[in-house]
Amino acid sequence: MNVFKTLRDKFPPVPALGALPVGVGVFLLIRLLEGTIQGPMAVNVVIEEAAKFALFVIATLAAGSTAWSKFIFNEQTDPDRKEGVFLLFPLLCAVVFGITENILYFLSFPTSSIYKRLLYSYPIHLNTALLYALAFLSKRIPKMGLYFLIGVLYHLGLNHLSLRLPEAGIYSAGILNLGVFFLLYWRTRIKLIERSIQACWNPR
Amino acid sequence: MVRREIELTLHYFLRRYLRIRLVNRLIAYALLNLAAYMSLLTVMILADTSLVVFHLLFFCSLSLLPLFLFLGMEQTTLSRIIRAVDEHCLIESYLQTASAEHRSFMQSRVESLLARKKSGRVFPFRMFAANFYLIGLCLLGFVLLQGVSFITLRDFTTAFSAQKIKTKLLERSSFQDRIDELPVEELPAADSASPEEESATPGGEIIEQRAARNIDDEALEELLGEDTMVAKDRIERLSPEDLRQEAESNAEQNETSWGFQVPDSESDSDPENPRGLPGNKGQEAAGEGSGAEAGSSDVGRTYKESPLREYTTVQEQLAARGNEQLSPTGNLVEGREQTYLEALFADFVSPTSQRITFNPLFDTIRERYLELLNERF
Repeated sequence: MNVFKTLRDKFPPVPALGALPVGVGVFLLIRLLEGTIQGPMAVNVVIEEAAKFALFVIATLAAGSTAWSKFIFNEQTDPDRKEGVFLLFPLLCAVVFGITENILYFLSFPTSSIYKRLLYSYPIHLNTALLYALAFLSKRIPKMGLYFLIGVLYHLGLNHLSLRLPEAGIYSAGILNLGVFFLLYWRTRIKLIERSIQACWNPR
Repeated sequence: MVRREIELTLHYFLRRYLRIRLVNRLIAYALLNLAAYMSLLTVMILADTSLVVFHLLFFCSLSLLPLFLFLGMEQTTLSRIIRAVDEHCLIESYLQTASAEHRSFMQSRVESLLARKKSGRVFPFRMFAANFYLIGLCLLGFVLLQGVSFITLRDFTTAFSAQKIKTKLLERSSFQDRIDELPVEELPAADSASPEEESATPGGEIIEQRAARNIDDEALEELLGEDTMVAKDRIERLSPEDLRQEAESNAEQNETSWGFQVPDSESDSDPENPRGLPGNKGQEAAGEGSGAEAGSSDVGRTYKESPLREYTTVQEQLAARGNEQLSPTGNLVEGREQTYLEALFADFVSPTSQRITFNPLFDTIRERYLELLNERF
């Protein structure tokens, strides 16, 4: 029993397992939408980022809902953990989104470009998702809007850059992208801890 | 120490704690991918899976980095970390209380505790227990991969490159196809496992000779498979007695005198003419393809003997048979019929004519030139 309890505490099953179908579903929905609109690259980028942003909005709304909290958490759950778990769900959805996109690319063009995408394109989705996570941790709407704009520009800029960069440049930019990913990840973790510090300094 | 300083000290502990966890997560990620890579290579060697499947699965494994970082992230709250450094719940009590009076009472104790912890090693680096299991898994995968690679590919070095493994597997399959395409003449009763095996075949082959032929077949495969050292070792293990026995069995059957015979179908010589050394009568029977075999193991026309074996066993052959089979022929006319010998020893004929020709015009010019020279000097 203790083993299962530990596993449940470490890997909350609902966000982890729910992210898989939701991530794939969102990706397919976006592809359908993009195929219908047939717009330029900028439109596609806005659609993709808006979908990811919407996932964070839904997760935040669900975190405020008592019914959803009871569905996901048990009674003994530390209140400080709820926020982290709810942010985990859209983050995992973005991960599944990126993996699905890369797999479909590889199945269409089975070349070594998949590793290029692993360094360059995949972190774009992860970085924008982490950017939105930071925005939603701040709980300030202007900051959310600003971060959404930054996410769209970042995604669009790197997409355009990928068309102009040489092969070596793409790998270099990919390594830079991974660096940004680790910085954002670190910042998110510290932010989560700081919030729990605040909860301790100002006990309810 | 004021409240702000206490908060900063806690931040320091938090960052250290998170750094150690992050390093451990990255180690786990690297180990898992290494294990996955070796597992996929092992499966590729065993099942000959395609490179697309290999790269797809390995890519999926590499893509799991965010899961290693994100999962478990939410459990790291301040209370857990503080409890790891807190003695008698002093810091937690200090942080939890809303009373300023209580805080001032506990402040000096908290300050001394934090100062003591900061000077010491609060969160020393320790590997996750799961990482030790993953290291074991990697070692197991490595041993398995090398074992499978050595058994299947006979090579340790190519086992870490999927491309090289695939190339090697393709070479092996193409070699196998070439071996299958070699012309094989089925001998009558060759496959029968009846008591007739004890008797001689229509070609005069007995069961011991067939066993010897199988050994030679293996030697050929090893040679074509670039395992020349193995084949050479096998050849060198043959004792002069073995060769003498072969010679005796050949003599009994009145077969060819040479132990190794190029099959008729693959030779350039005319089947009407005897091959090999002049005066070799037994080769006529070998060229007919009627089940009469030539060669040390009486394998007939379908066997192409290895030149390496022929070369390495010349001395033994000579020692076993004496030199009576190498005596020159007395029939000189027979040798002259061979056109390639004539071509080889004939006079060299130059393809271009080297005759000096005299042109009257050149003579006239030369004479005039000399006259002018005389006039001048």
